[in-house]
Order: sequence, then C-alpha cells, then structure tokens
Amino acid sequence: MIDFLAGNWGNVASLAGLVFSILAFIFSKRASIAAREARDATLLRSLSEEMNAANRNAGEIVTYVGMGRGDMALLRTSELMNQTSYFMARWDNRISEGSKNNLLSVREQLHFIHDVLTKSPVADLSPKAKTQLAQACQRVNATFSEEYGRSVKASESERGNAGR
Amino acid sequence: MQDDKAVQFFEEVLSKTRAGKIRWEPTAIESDYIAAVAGQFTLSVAEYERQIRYIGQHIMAHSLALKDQEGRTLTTVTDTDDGIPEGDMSELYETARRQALHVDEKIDNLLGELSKL
Repeated sequence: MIDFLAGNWGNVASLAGLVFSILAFIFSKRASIAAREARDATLLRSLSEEMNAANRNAGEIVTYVGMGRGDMALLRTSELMNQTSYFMARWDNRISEGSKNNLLSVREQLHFIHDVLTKSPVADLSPKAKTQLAQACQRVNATFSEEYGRSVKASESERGNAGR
Repeated sequence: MQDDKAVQFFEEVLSKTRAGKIRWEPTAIESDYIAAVAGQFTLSVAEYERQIRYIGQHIMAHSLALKDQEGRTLTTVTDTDDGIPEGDMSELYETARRQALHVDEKIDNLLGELSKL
C-alpha cells in the first residue's frame, strides 16, 4: 500500500484534488441556490408588507367614505394612487399578469373615486352616487386584500423553499 | 380622416367583449366602466351627453379609451369617429355595462325565483 502510494503519489493527489473540487462545486451551488431563495423570500416578504400597508389604506378609505369624511378619504385615495403606481414599477417582474391587471384596475378605480370626492362633499352626493362610491371603495379594498393574501402565500412558499 | 389602428382596436375590443373575454367592472361613476388587459393596459367605456350641432338637441354618446401602464391615454374612440359603424359603440357600452353589473346572471336568478312563486 505504502509502495503504491509512494510510486503514484502524484496520481493520488490529483484524484483527491478532483474529488475536493467536485464537492466544493456542489456545496457552492447549493449555497448560491439557498442565498437566492433567501433573497427572494426577503423580497416577497417586503412585497407582502407593502401590500398590507396598501390594504390598510384602502380599508381607511372605506371607513372615511362611510363616515362622510370626504377630505380624509381624498387624502388616502391620493396616497393609494401613488402607492399603486409604485407597486407597478417596483414589482413589475415579480407579480403575475392577474395581479398586474388587479393593480391597474384598482388605480383606475381610485382615479374615479378621486374625481367623485373632488367634485362634491360626500354629504352632498345623491344616495345612488354615495352607494356607487362606497361600492367602488369596497372593491378597491377587496382587491388589495386579495393581493395581500397572494403575496403572503408567495412569501410563505418561498420561505419554505429557502428553509429546505 | 379615418384612424385605421383605432378602428381595428375598437373592433377587437367589441369582438372580445361580445365573446365575454374582457372583465369589465363598474366604477364610482355610474356611466363609466373599466377593464384591465394583459397587465399593461386599461380600457374604459363611458356614456356622456352630446349636443348635436345646429339642432341643439342632446343625445347620449359613448366613448372607448385606452390607457397604458403609466396611466397615459393612448387613444379615445367615439361613436362619431370615421370607420365606426353606427350602433357599434353603443353596443359595446351596453354589453360592457351588462357584463360589469352581471345583469344576465341576476335576471336568470330572478327568473329562477319567479318560477318558484
């Protein structure tokens, strides 16, 4: 055995080097996948946190419209319009086509809500217009709840992948 | 002058709406309905009052607008534009309105209830 090693130490060393290189490659590949999954999980968690904040804002619009506080509802509507535009730009390559459609229609809904709130105080609206406004606000809230749920689900499944 | 692209866009929207492929939604304004398409565009149809020149009579007119992802209006088609067949724009508006408000489903539901009486 010793004679064999003494005679072929170069070959043995090459073979051991090759084995170590292969192991190092496998471990670095795994580490890079784990790092990418951890980064994706962090990004998705950040998306779901932002979606949660938007969802809260949308809920406040519903409340303010219900209370007849058009000024506060208008303020939140403007904020949410900006937030929605930000989402579309920030998360463009992370969200599905369905979510993009939801965000696009929410932004458009918010434009109409903004128009109605700018034109007259909530108290002066006809009962029909008031109902229409309340329903539109509720639709925006429901869409953000749906998107928040989707982002939490995506974040949880990504975290599950990263933890594996 | 006829805008062929706009006419083609209108015809495609009308055809897809007839086929029920576009998800129209009501808005905070009773006369406006919207739909988002392909994650990039927003369509809106609206009904408004228009005064006929020389006669002074008011009629209900309709329009279809296309916006991009940034919310910029790319084009607006109205029922008086060249190349838009008479009645097609009001058909688009009415079909979109019925779909947005789920009129057919609600009538079917009512018919079901009425049949039980």
